[in-house]
Amino acid sequence: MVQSMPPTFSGILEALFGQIGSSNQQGDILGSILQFVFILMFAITMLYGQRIQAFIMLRNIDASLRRLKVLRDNARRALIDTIRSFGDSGRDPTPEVDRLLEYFWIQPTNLDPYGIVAKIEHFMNLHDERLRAEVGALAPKADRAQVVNLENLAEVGLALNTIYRIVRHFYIFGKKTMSIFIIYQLEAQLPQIIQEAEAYASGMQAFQLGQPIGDGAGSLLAAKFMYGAEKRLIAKDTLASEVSFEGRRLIVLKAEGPGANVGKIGEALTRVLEENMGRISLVIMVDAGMKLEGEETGGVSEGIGAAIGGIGVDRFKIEETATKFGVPVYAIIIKESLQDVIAPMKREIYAGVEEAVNRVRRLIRERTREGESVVLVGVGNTIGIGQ
Amino acid sequence: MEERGRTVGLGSLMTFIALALILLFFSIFLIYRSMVSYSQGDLTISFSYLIFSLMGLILSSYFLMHLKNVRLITAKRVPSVFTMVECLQCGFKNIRPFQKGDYVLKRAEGCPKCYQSMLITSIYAESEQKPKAP
Repeated sequence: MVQSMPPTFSGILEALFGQIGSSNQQGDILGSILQFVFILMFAITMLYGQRIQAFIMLRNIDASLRRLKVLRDNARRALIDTIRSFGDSGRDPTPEVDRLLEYFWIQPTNLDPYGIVAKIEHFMNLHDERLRAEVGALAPKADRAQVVNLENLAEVGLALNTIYRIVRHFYIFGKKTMSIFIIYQLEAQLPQIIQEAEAYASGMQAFQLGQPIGDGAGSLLAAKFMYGAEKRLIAKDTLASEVSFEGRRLIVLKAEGPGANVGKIGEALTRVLEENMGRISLVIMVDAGMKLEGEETGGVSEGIGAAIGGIGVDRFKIEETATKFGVPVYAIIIKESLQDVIAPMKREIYAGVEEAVNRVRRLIRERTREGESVVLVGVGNTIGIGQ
Repeated sequence: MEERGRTVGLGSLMTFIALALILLFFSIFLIYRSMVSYSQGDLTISFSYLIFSLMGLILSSYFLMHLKNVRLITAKRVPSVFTMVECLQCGFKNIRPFQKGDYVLKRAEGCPKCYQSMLITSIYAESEQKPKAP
């Protein structure tokens, strides 16, 4: 029978559901199958929708986990090969490297926060010293700078291994429990985790070959100012140099290169301020900083405060001493992405350092008078940067 | 930073593409059935086929669009690193590939012009071309 009326909503429903259980004179087999499939899909979605969603998310997490495993394995292989090149011939460092990659340190409890900075510093120093000693023992032919580079390479491997193990833990836990909340939280954080892991991985080449990295922007600036002047060791792995700039006394602080040192900037600056009994007109700190999406790499910004990263020990010391002596602390940041920080230094960052040098000169001219003393601190990992 | 996307193995990728294509062809078949039903005067059946075919087209286009964010697990490209050496006497500059042992402010090879020792002034990696932000 020909239907001349236009399709209505009730007519559609009749077409979708009305044929079931009745003789199928007007519809065809395909129509019945489609109706059945539609009802089946509806029922499955109602009963198992969450499990299907969890399954899809687990597949996505599995793909990311495989990427993390590739990054971890590459770092492990790079560490083994580099240690082997500096180690005793015939000795396989693989078991020791696997042991290093499982290293951990337990942060002091903050139940009673008073004095916690000193405790954190103590255990951090212990961790660094032990890791350096272990790496040094595996690579007896490496010189001091190369041992420090190896230590940083081991830190990269450690970080990647830890990220992989934690993501794998939550993946397996989510798979066992099929809890949508655990799986959803993990999937939501995965883009950031992958970005962080790839940033670590991009630093491997630099640490293997001793190339400057993006984080060394501050150290590079300081090196430009202190080149040719006499240097002295003011703190562990940290150098100080005194130069003259347009009638001002400029004390420049920097980690000792060209090894992958970050130095003890907090301790060094504290010592300088105390040696000069606070008679410092200005402290300028230059460091690499995180850029926001849409910003250009190598852009320079100025501000106030202790421009130094890390867990907070150095920043605490600088802030405490600057406050005690009433010394202004200015910050200059050279902007980079998370991947640029550990990757080999880009040309744009060099341009940013040149711009930052001009900003430092301008600040000294504008904020200080002739005869005054200024401290310039170049913060960052000084791998591949001498002085 | 550009979207990195998800990584999959080759087998999963082929399965993904096959499912998307099967759904696409089935949707096109349903459009045909819809036209046949319409020509026979059965408007309601025709419209229901059209709805199913649209659902299928949307789903298959979603899968196929999703593919552009999927890539195979590949090795990361290693950036090329260069060393710039300068002669502070005559101003001669040279850019060469990085050699192990190079570091900024290291005394390098002699200047080909004035034979003075040159200085390494920068070591940098060439960055990839990225699309400009609007």
